[in-house]
Amino acid sequence: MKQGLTLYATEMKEFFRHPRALHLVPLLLFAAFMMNWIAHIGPQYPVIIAAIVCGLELQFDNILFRSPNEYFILTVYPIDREILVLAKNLAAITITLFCLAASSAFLFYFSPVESAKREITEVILSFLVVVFPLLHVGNLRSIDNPRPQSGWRVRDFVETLWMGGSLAIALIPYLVFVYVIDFPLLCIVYSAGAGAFWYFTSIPKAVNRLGREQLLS
Amino acid sequence: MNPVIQFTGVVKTHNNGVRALDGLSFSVPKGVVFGFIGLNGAGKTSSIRILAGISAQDSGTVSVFGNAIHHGDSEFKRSIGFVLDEPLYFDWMNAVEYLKFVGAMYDLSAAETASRSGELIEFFDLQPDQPIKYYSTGMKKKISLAAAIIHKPALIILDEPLEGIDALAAIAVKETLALMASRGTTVFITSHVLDTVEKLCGEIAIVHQGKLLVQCASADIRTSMKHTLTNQTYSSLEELFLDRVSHPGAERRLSFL
Repeated sequence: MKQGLTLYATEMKEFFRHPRALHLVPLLLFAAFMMNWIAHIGPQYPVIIAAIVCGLELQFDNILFRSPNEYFILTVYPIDREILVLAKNLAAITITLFCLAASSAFLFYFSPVESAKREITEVILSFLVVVFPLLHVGNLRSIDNPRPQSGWRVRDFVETLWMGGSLAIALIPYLVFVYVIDFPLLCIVYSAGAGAFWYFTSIPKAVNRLGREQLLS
Repeated sequence: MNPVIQFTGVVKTHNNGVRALDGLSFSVPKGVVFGFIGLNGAGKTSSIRILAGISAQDSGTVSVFGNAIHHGDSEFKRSIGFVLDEPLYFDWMNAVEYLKFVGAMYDLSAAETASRSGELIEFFDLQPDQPIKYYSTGMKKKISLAAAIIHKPALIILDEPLEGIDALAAIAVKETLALMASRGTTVFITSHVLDTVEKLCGEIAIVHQGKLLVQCASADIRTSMKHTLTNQTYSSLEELFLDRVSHPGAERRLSFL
């Protein structure tokens, strides 16, 4: 428990102190521009979700190497791998929620839409639908495809695009529930199911793979 | 008594095909400072990486405190401190924050961590409020060492711990390691500074091309025979080391000098 809380707190502190958080700035500026344009042709929530999830790509896709030596630190100390993955995933959810709230306030300020109530509901529901599938894919990708060095590199840009693609796929159930069958409540049911899968299947799978793999050896 | 570390027929081949360990076997008795020496690429770091759980052997067994360890095990690390060739710190933290993090990982109480951190920071003369990324190489090594001993480990494994640190700090580190060993801690150390190894270590092992060449007590080096016919003995660890790992007749010289 103590280890988990410490790891969670470390993740949060790192996010707010590391210049990596600045990845969000160009994406949010671009999103602000897009919000104005897209308001005339369709819903705005995909712009916000895409800006945040792509800006936080490393929180999902590279959980073991956000610092170049992080994996070695996490390996030599007696840390339960399940607690490690869980703490990092919970921190990713918290950080994403925080950024979504802050950026929604920022972006809707620039939006020409008068009432943002529906848009905010859509941001929340779409976040619920995508978050657990993205964590699942991110955990496995962090182990299979680790990046000891990350930042403003070409590979990071490619991974950000890859994250955008994953997000587009993860959003499909949302589009079906809200726009095809017009039953948004299903988003919550789907999220609960995806959350159960993440907790009971995805985390043990990542832990198991982490125990078998020898990253960078 | 069970050895603290036991390697038995350990083989490790890297992904690039290089065989780092080729049936390596040795054991480390309790409470000694154990010097593990060899040329670059001899297999020292590969052995330490297996002990740290960063990589796994292809075959053979590695035991720590009498129990075979497997890749992915973490519980046995509670009583071990590591200083690896890879820097072990979050560079965005300062020394106080990092030692607090390490204390929590070893399940130390907050009060205990705070008190030991303060003492370690003073002992190693670290800047408590400066982020570690701004530390000099020697200071970074010292914070790694501080983190490795904060939980009073029964075994401490150090890969080149004296590299890059100033003379005063090196003396303090050597004294600390000797003190820890005198109180029952087993110290496993790799170093290229043979003179230091000979003075500091009670027992040494020379590894070459992934195999053990010699394991003996340091005190026995100067009495072991170099030439049985002439009754000549080794005068130092350096002489023994060169005799065992250098290629006979391979004189190396730069043509332009």
